[in-house]
Order: sequence, then structure tokens, then C-alpha cells
Amino acid sequence: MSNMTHLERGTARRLLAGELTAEQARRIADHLDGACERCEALLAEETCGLDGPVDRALLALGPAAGKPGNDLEWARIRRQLGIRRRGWLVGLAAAAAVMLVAGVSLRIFQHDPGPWDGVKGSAGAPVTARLRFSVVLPGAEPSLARGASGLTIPEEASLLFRVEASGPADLALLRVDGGELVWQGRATRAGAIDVEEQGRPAAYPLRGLRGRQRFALVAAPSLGPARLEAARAALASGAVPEGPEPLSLDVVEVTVR
Amino acid sequence: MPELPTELDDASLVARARLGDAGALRAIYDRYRPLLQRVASSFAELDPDDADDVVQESFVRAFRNLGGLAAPERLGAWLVTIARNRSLTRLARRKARQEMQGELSREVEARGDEVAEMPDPEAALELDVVRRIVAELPEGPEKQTVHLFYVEGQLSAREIAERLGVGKSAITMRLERFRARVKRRVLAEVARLRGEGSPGRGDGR
Ligand SMILES: [Zn+2]
Repeated sequence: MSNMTHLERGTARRLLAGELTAEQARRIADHLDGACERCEALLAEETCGLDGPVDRALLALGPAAGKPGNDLEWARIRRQLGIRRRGWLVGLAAAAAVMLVAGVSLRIFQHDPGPWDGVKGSAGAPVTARLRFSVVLPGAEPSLARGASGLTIPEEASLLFRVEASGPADLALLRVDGGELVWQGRATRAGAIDVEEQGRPAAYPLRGLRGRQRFALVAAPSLGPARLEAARAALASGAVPEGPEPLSLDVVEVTVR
Repeated sequence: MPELPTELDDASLVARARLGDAGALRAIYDRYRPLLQRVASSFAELDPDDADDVVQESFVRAFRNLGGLAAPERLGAWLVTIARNRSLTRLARRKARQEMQGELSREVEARGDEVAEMPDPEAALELDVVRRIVAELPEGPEKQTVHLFYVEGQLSAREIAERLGVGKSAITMRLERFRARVKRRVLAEVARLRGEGSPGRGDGR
């Protein structure tokens, strides 16, 4: 070993990024060919682009014996993501609109049979749930418009959803076309529930969406993650979700421009 | 009809997931969950519940930052890096008093550019190096530990500590030291390749 140049912090990163000359690279290669504990110590604590590939290679030596995924854990991950990923308008952002809703009769949450050409598969379902919504139009004074399936809505708007269930049920609101789980909740008895996040009424922003958007409410006395995922997949491919017992399905459709 | 997410390659899954396709996220989770759990279980100080937490945190963090992943085809390596960092962070929090803390708590956020995009012929290089190093390991506690954890791949580091009647941190240390050696050798090979093919090459091997 003629060369005693140890690695410095960031050297590995620069080498991988191609920022070193061939000469510098050769010097590093020569040095690292010898067992240098000091450099190993540095590499042990410094993350660089090699960490992932090295771990993958090491773990590929044997069977991938880690515990497989499970629906419960996945549901927890989804819950954590669901709150922030679509950026629900909660609290202040939605407060004005929500105040408008308070005390307003259910009529504002109009639901017309829309142009949905799938089947609303509530026939025979042990519980049925209806999806209603109203449109929050932004501005200095946010205003509410009656939601109706088939509406064309500006993307600045957001949607407030309300669910009416005929009895205790697990509820899931899906955006059909993106396959997105928008919201999950539970009705403990018959009645209306406003869609909430973090315990507060929340408005679903349409920003970033374009064209036809269908929102599907799926309900069943018990709706586990596996069944929900099957329903999501079925809807996304244009089919009616099936299951051991009929699901309640209600769909509204709007066009975002 | 769209293809089933489970049949898509990593890059396609990432593309779909970025569009908000929950099925693609789930497919990524199912594909890599076992691997991430193995990463977490290489730290004997973490119990099985810790490992599960690490896995969950890692996916949440990864999915929130999916947009920043520069090389979607290296999704697996990126996820593994995140899981390692989450494990180290958890470990560091636990070991407030020890001097190890200084080293371990230096959390590096896993960004997209943290996974080296290694062009051919370097792509499969680390696999090669790893196999060679394992084959060359002299008999002894390190070889025993490496074999139990990586080659047989059934036990967690914690379970290996119990089986061998050795302290937990000793097992973690053995695995970490071995891993650092692998890293050094892989880096040496990468450096060798990067140093090739230009004029003025001296006495390089
Ligand atoms: Zn050195």
C-alpha cells in the first residue's frame, strides 16, 4: 500500500456522482483494496448511494424471510398517508364552508341519479348508504352550491361529503378513476355523517384533478382492508365489486374543469 | 383493462403510485415489506414491535416522498435505505447515553439521489462482491453470524443473540462491521471501474 489517502466525508458520494477524476478514482481503489479500518468506520456511519444496493445484495443471499404484508398494517399506513396526501382542507380552510352547512337542511346535499353507467349495487345489501355532496366555491366569502351528479365544477372548488346510512356500517369513499381511497369511516347507527378528518369536517380539494371524477361510497356492516381493496380494484376497472354479501354502492360523478 | 399492479415492474409501479393509485402503493408495500422487515431485524436492540414500527414509518415516509425518487427502477434500494435510516434513528433515540449516539443519530434523510444510479457494467457488481466476501469469510463468530442472518435468513439479529448466548449489541456490531467491509469492497470496485479507460493509467491492477 503506497497510498495512504483515507476517505473523507463525502468522498464516496462524489465518486458515485462521477465528480472525481479517473486518477482520483484509481487512488481510492488502490487504498480501499487494503483493509483500512478507518475508512470502514467512516463508511459504516456515512450514508451514500451504496447503502441500498449493498443491503439489497446482502439480503439477496438468503430467502426473503421477512414477515409479509398484512391488511391491518396497510390500513394504518393508508390512514397516515390519507390525511396528508390529498391535503384535505380541515379546520380554518373548511370552517367557513362548514358553518354554512351547519343547520342547512339536507337538501343542499342533493343527490340526483347521475350519468353513472355502472350498477349501483345496493340490492340485497344488508345496509345501504347514500352519498351526498355539496360544492364549496372559494373566495373572500366561500359559498356553497348544491351538489348534483353530473355537475361541471371549477378545480378551485372543493367538495363536502355527507353519508346517510341505513344502519351501522363501515364506510369507504373512493375516487374511482384514480383508485384513491379518499376517506374511511364508520356509521354507528342509522343517520347522516359528515366526512371528517382529524375529527373535524373536511373539504376535499379538486385541485390537480381534470375531467370526469367519480366518487363511490362503499358500505357494508364490516369492510376489511382486503374486501375494500377488492372493491377499489373492481371499480377502477369498471366492474361492480362483488363479495360474500352484497355491498352497498353509491356513485356520484362530476366533471372538473 | 389495466394490468394487475403485482405484475408491473418497479418503475411502472412508482409512476402509477405518483398518480395516486392506491393499488400501486399496496403492490409496492407487498413487494418490499419482507425485505424492509429484514433490514430492521438486523439490529438486535430492536424488538419485533420496533421492527414493525420501522417498517410502517418507512413506507409512510417513502410514499410521502415518492415524487423525489430520481431513479424509480431502484425503488427497492431506496426503500431499504430509508428502513435502515429509520432503524438507526430509533436506535439512537434509545441509546441516549452512549457515545454511539453521536454516530448513529446523524440521520441522513433518504432522498431520491441517495441511491446511486449505477450504469452497467456496475449494476450487478455489488451482488458479485457480496458473494465473494461471504465465500472468503474465515471460520469464526463473524462468519457464523453472517451465515445465520444473511445466508439462512430466518432469524432476526435478536434471535441470533439468544441462540448464540451473546449480547445483543455484539451481534449488531458484527453485522454492521461486516456490512462496512462489504461497502468498502464495493466502493473499491466502483472506483476501479471509474478509474479505467482513461489515459495515463499507472500501475493499477
Ligand atoms: Zn483509509
